[in-house]
Amino acid sequence: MPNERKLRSKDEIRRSNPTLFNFEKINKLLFRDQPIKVTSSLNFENLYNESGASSSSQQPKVPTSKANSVVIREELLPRKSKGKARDVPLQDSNYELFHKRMKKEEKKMTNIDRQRILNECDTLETSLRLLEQHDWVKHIRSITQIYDPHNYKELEYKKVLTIYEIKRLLKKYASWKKREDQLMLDIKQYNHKISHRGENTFNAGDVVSNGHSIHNDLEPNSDSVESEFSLSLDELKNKRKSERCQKYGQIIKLKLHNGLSLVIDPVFPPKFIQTLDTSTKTTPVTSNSPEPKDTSTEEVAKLGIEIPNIEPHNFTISQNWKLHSKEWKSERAKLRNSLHAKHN
Amino acid sequence: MGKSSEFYGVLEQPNIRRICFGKYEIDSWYGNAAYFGADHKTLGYKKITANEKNGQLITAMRKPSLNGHSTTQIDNTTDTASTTPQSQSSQYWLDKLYVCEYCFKYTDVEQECQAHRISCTFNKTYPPVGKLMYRDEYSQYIITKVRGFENVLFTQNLCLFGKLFLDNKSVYYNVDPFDFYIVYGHDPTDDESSNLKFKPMGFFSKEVLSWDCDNNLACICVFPPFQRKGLGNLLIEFSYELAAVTAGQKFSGPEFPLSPFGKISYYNYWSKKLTLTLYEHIIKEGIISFNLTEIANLTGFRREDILITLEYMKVLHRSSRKRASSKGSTTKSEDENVYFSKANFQKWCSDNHIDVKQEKSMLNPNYLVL
Repeated sequence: MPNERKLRSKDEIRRSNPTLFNFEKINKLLFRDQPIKVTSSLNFENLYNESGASSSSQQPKVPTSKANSVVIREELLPRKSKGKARDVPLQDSNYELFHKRMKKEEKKMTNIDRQRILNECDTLETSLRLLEQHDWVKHIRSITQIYDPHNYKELEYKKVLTIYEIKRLLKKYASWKKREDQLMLDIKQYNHKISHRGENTFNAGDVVSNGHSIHNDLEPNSDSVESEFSLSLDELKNKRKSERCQKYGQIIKLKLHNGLSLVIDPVFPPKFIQTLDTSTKTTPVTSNSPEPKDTSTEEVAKLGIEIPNIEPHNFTISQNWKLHSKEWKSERAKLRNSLHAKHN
Repeated sequence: MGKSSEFYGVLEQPNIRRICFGKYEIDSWYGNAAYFGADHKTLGYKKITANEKNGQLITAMRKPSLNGHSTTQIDNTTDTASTTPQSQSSQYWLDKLYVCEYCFKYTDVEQECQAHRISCTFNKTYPPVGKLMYRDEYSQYIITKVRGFENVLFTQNLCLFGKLFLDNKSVYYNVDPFDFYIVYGHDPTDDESSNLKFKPMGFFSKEVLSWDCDNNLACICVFPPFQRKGLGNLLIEFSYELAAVTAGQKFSGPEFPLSPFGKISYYNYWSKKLTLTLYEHIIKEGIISFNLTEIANLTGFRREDILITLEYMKVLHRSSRKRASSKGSTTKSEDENVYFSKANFQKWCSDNHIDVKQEKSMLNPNYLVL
């Protein structure tokens, strides 16, 4: 009946507000780990097709239809000129001004996105604060889609879900911010390294908005692919391993004294390996424990079991250790000097 | 304003008639406005240089209107040689674009490009920039990592070139927050008697600052002369290997939305990998039920991607039909079960000629140097 009187609160759920958290329509396969049962019967009548992917098997057409879309041209290249490098056409400087300007324009667009993210985070923080107040019931309807505002159970349940979701999003923002800071640091360090080298191709005009030049493309690089091709694959892998250790810290091997050890690599997922050492000696867990030897590495391949719920980036002990190692080193040096002085 | 022109650099139709990429002449698949100045006739760097010389400054970036012309016409520079009358009257803004196959620098003058290519500082046996990440000693393909902020001009030009074959790319100049993984190989059409050089054949970019930290790939492109060699698969497989050693990317996948070609590539890749995983861990083991997280743990794929792929393979079905309600509208039952059909799975394998006992892969993990 169109003219039937009804509560306004019931009306609102039908006009679902996209700005509110909505926990009514979640996919249970994705977010509730709903089990998928295995059957043997053939069934194409009642296919599960939420995203429409099962009907999208048609190949897209390549926007070029001609048979001559790729042709090898017969060309006679000119001889390599013996002139100076600056005589070579298409110098970097040709592109510099235009690319610099376009980059600035693109950055403006990126900054709009950045601003949007910051605003959303502000809103989320405010919502979280409101939900953690004693009068959260008053506010939850402006944050989350509520079916029945008089059902306290629903309100409580949705409050928990909303807080969980907001915290997840704020964590996501924290991760983004961390990556942004790291990138800024990397850029800064790179610029510092470049300016330290005193490249003569640099001049004030070359410096672009983030402080480095677009001319840096051709600088000689000691880690270039060419130099790395001279190394064997094993040497190269060892080189990467030591680079990784330098950057992220050592691999930690935690002996469990039950024939197993936990190998915590700062980059790769942690693994259990079987160790031959079954002595009951208690060894303190230190961050500078030696790396597993080659024999154990072989065992990793045979017996290693990945622990799916442990994230490798959680293990920051080695980074702290690296931080403190300098202090300890200087302390040790002081101690050595004082002992030496006493001795003399 | 047309739908696609709402996005910066994106055009509804190709705007360059032919691309001369090294010794190859190819069609562009999509338009790229970002190469051009505001007049949509002259390459941006030439326009700006000419105007600088005349003591004038123009803002080169302007969104194209539906008819392909800028709303404000600024044109007091000399047109370049290859801007033919034909290109002015038709959909094309430029007849031919010449791109160096080593460094991706571009011009509309053939002689300039030819003279540049022989002296190009990137024209070397091995790529002069980047860090080696994969070195296949058998197939002679290598993948290098180039950071956007370390090699600005090279990666900008790479992005501009890639846009000619990608429909929804939108970053060409602000490359700082991107890492580029470029696949190099020996061109089979090169003269083997001369010194064989590694040439860039395709790439994928990865955004360091993407909002979703589980994105392992932003855009992927294999250049037309080197397509149908499995390089797209190699790059996708590599992106997952890379994600496996990247913090926060235990489950990862490409940035959404996928382009039509991206969809096909990824559906192919995911479905083949999932076929083997489902056979090995579910069917062979006689498992009676599983969930998406279990499959995600085995593959490193995101749960959303797994679900889409299972839908694409048509191996999932619902337990009950939609029930008709009293008012005639259809509703779904609340606790509807979802089933994985082994018979549908077998049909999928036979239709797609997949042998579940063989894993075909372009990437050899022994050659990874991450």
